[in-house]
Amino acid sequence: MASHVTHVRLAREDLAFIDDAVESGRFLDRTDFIRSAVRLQIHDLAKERLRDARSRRRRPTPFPELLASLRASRKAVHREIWG
Amino acid sequence: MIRAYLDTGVFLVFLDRDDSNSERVLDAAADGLFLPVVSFHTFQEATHNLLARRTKEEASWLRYFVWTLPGLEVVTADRLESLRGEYGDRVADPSDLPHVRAYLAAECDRFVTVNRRLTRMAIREVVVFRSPRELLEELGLPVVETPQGI
Repeated sequence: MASHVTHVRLAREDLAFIDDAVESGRFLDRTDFIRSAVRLQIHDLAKERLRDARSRRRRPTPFPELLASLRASRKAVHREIWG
Repeated sequence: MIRAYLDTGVFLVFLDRDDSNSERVLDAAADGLFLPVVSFHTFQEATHNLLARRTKEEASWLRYFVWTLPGLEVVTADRLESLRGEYGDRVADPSDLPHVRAYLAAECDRFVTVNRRLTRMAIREVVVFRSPRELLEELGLPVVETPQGI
C-alpha cells in the first residue's frame, strides 16, 4: 500500500514516552509507534461506528438468512474473480 | 501463538448481533491473543454483502475495522495460485475453496467459521475448523450462549 508523509507536532512529554517505548524494543522507531497508534484509533473508531449502526437496527437478521446472504456474496465474488 | 483464519461470516455476525462469540473472537484478536488471518476474498465478500443488505458506510467502516486488526495477515491472490486446482474434491461448493486455500497458504492452524456445513465436508481432514465459541474456549476466554456457537 502506498504511504504518504504528514507532519505532526507532538508535546515533548509524548515524544519522550515514544522514545522510551522505542528504546525498550517494543517499537522499531517513532514512525512505527505513531503508525501503530493511528491504526489503533482507526480500528476503535470503526468498531464504534459499526456498533452504533448495529444498535439502530430493531432485530438481528435470522441466522439462516444471514448464512444464505453470505453464500450468495461468496458465489458472486467467486464468479467475478475466478470465472 | 495460534494463527486463525477468520471466515467472512465471523465479521457479519459481529455486525448483526449484540454480544456474540464472533465479536468476542474479534476482541481477542485485537488484544493480540491470536494472530488473525483473512484473505482478499474476505474483504470482497463482506463488501458485496453489506452493499446488498446494509449501507455503503457500513461496508467502508468494516473494511477499516478489518484492515486495522492488530497483527492481521491478508492472503493475496498470488499466494493462492500454487494451490489452484487442489482440494476441489473435498468441498461441495467451489466458492469455499479460496478460503481453504488461503488458510493453507498462510499455514494457519485454525479456521474459524460460522458455517457448519463447511466443517462437515471431507476438507475437515486437512483443515482444523472451530466455531467462534470453540476458539474462545480453546483460548480460555468466556463465551456467550448462542445457537451454533456463533
